[in-house]
Amino acid sequence: MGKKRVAFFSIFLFLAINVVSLSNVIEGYYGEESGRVYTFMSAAIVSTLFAAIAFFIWRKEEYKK
Amino acid sequence: MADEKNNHKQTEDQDMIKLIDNLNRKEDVGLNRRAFLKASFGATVAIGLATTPFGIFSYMRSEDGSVKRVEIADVKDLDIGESRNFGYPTKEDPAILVRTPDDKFVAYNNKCTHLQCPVFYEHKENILLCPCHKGYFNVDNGHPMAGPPQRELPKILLEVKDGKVFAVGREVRHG
Repeated sequence: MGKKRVAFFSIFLFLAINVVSLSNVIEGYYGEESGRVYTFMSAAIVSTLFAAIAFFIWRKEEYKK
Repeated sequence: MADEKNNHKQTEDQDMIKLIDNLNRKEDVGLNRRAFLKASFGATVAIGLATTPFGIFSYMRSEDGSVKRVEIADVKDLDIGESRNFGYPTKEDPAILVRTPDDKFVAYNNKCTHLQCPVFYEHKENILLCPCHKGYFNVDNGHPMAGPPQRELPKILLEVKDGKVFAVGREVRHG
């Protein structure tokens, strides 16, 4: 699988990670479990960073002449 | 006869024209593969960043949320199978202290986790009951047993010292 394809599909993986993280963060917040909030918030931020890297890789490959 | 046939064909053609008339090519090609990926990336970033306010508020809450120690009752004032209402961690958070038939003290915030109705202790069945929609909670652990509630009652941590019962903390999710 090419670099572009990996970057393309990984964005959907990171999207799924963020959805799961957000749901856990909300549950942790209302359940007053700060440990759970911090863990999943960190996961979401890291996943967002990786998604940004993947997006820029995909964009570079996609618009390459 | 021929005229009639021609007229019919013309009407049919016009109907077909009407059918394709409302198609906008620009709109049709607007969401292509590239746009779809960009939208997905946008959603990923938005959802990822949406977690941060919860983290910040949680941090702010835990900074000023020092554990309160509140005296609830004298041990001798509460007989086995009796309950007493109090407020914890603030007076606006209703709670119930129960001395169970096993001679143990347990306490929970007694707002039903279904629709916030007050929960009462039923001595005969040794159960916590929400009369609004017949929600039953286990008195030993605060978990729902029957009825609409899905979540457990927040548990108040207790300490018995010098013949007095103190509330010393709270676990909203437990077990």
